[in-house]
Amino acid sequence: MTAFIARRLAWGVLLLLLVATLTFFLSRVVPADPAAFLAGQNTSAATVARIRAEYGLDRPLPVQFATYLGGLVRLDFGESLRTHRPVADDLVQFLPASLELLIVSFMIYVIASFWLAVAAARRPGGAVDTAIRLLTMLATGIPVFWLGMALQFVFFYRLHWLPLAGRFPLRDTPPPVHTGFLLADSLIAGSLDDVWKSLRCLAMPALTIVLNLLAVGTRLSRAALIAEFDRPYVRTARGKGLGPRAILYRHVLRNALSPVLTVTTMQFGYMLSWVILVEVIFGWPGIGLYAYQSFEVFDYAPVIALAIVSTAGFVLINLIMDLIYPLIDPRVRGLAT
Amino acid sequence: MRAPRAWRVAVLLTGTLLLPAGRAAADPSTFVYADAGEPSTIDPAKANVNFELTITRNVYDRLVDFDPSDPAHLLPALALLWTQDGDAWTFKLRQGVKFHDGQAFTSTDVKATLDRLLRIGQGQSYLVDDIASVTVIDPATIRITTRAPNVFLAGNLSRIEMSSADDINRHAQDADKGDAWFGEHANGTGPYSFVSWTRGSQIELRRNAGWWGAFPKGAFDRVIDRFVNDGATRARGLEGGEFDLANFVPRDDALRLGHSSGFHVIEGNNLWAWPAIYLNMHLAPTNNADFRDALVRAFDYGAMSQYFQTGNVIPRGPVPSWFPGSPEQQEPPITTDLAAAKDALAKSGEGGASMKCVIPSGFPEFSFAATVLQSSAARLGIKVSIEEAPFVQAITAIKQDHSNCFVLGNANLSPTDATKFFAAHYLKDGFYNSGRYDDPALDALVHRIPTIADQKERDGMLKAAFETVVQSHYIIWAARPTTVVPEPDRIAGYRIDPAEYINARFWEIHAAQ
Repeated sequence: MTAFIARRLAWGVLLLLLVATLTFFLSRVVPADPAAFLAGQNTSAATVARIRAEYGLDRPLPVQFATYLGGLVRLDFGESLRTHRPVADDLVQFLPASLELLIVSFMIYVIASFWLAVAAARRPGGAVDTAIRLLTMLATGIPVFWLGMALQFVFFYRLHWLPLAGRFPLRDTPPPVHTGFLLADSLIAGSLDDVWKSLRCLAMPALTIVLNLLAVGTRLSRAALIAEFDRPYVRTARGKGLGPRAILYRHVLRNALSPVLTVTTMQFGYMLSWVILVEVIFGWPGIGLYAYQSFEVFDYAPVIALAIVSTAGFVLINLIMDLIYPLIDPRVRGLAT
Repeated sequence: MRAPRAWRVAVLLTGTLLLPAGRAAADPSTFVYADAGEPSTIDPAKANVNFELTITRNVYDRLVDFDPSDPAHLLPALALLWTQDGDAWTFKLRQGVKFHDGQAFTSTDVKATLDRLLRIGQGQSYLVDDIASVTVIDPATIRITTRAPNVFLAGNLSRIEMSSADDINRHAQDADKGDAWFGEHANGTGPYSFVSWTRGSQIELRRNAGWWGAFPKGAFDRVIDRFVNDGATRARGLEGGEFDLANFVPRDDALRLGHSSGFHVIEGNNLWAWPAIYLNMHLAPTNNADFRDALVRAFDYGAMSQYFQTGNVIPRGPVPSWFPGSPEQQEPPITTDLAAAKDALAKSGEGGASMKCVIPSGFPEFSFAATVLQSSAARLGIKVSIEEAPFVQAITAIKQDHSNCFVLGNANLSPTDATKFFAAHYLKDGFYNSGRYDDPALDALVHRIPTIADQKERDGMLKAAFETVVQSHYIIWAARPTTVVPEPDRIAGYRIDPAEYINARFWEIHAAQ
């Protein structure tokens, strides 16, 4: 098992290096001068040249790349031209907001897609199954930006039920920062009121993400469950007089878990991409919004850092899943050694 | 199955979450301004973008102010009196003014601020870049000497914010000479003091009770400058009561909102052209003056007026009629004239030519103007292809001769001095002179204008510069709409500032009585 993990980690490091190299050179191919942005309007050519030199943008590409790689080893992602701060500091600032949104969305997604899949799989082709399939397909077909705006229109503008945007009601003072996770910080501060306010702000962005992912997850989980329900061992269980609940939870679910887990892992990847759009729509101060603002002004360092961090997230999630598979399915235990 | 119970829990939880919390505007002492983005810096020596100036303009004071309804009328601010004697200007400073940290404001602060600004060479420094030296006469008097006499210096100083010499000196030994400190801290003498910056979300300001100026009744004690990148979200938040005012509300939304119940429209001039289409003087076929003339004459200006619905005029040249000393009213209108355009095209010998326009993305008006150019040119048999790219990429494309045109909005950030606008857009090495218009005679003329004491003579020179640019056919001034800001009826005091793209003077804004 140790060798397996070491092998996986080595591949992960190689992948990260590849991503860093690709994004570094791709970002330099774009015909734009970030120093001109940084200098601002009406600045003399000499000032732009001075800034270009200050940030090392005038040096040969291989030198810039070597400097960048050297920094990466020390977890130094360079400095953002836009925020004038080390990118690592910005990531520490913005990552918790995104992780909080992702974790809450992911939990809702896992529970909802499981519920819906079970409800649909119990009577394939029935009214509940058809309704679930229709609704989830509809939700997936709607573009994420439109869905976000539609939710804002209904729940903020028409009904005044939920706040428009942001992580915390804008006239209120958020709890002191300990972890950067507002829910956790609210709990640390002992304020259930702040927990509630945070949850209300989370509701629309999380719902936008979940609704867009639900169809694929529900349909694939449903298919896996139906396939298991058709297996002979289920007929045997029924013949022995086992109830539907016992069959589902004791037998079917365990056997269907591997493909469901695979789908869930993939969906987590999709969530990372949705998060940029959702954070822009809902003014959610996470790495998605940070990435969007950096893209706009060709702020290279954050863009590359975010590509690396996202890839690292993927690698980590996949590694965890690889370790979980053998625990839930004895058939793959031999493969993971 | 336990599902029904689980469903009940879920429904109960969701229902409770959705319980109405009441309208957001519950705190009458707080004003929430939805700004179009997050500042990159709040250093007054570097602030450049509109949403950076929102902060610096309200936290720092300037030596001189001006009346937004008559920008030629300069008003006292940190300076009470000023006089020009050749290339020297003397400013008598207001006494008893304090920075937010309690330090007294003196002429030493003015000198330190201007020296630092000129050393850095960014932000609004281009407005005062002809300053040769700054001399402290006494704590309440400062002399500023320019390289040549400059009648516009006082007006241009109405854009320069004064920092504390103490802050500057305290950070002079830092490796970056205090750039990082000034980037995220602010200590001015202005009507609002800086409280906090929650990265990615908002900046909070507090009313400076010790400010030398006067606040109107109902002025807000606390201002939250909220960063909202998406224009539609700003409009929705304003409409739904989450925000008290918003920057850059898309025009359609602004007009609709401004005329709806609970809102009124604030309309005014600050744009010189929106959009202006710059033609590349170094890349065929737009390097041909007759070809450019054909495009200018073929352009469908009526389509732009229809697009803006209301409040639009077709510019006759670079300087709007409402700007002090503008010759525009004496100039002939620029109109669509297809026959003249065909004659000009025939003269150019470029019939059937094709050209490419890389334009900045994210501005519907710019895209529309490019499409109008495309269809207008098609009537002459000219093919125009359009590409949209982020701003930096688009301006780089024309500067590197990968594009025949570029689209930009024009505004002048000096209340009285048009020469700085000419320098940026039409003179050699001007940052926005994207099509690299190069006329040494125009350069010399524009540089001489500030040195002329006689206003009539200056106005005549400005007229000559105006006509030179028009006759070069370098620019298609597609439209000049008014700026429309929807203000909720519960708010009052907002004014369009003619020397800003758009501005929020928080100290003038107050709750409606």
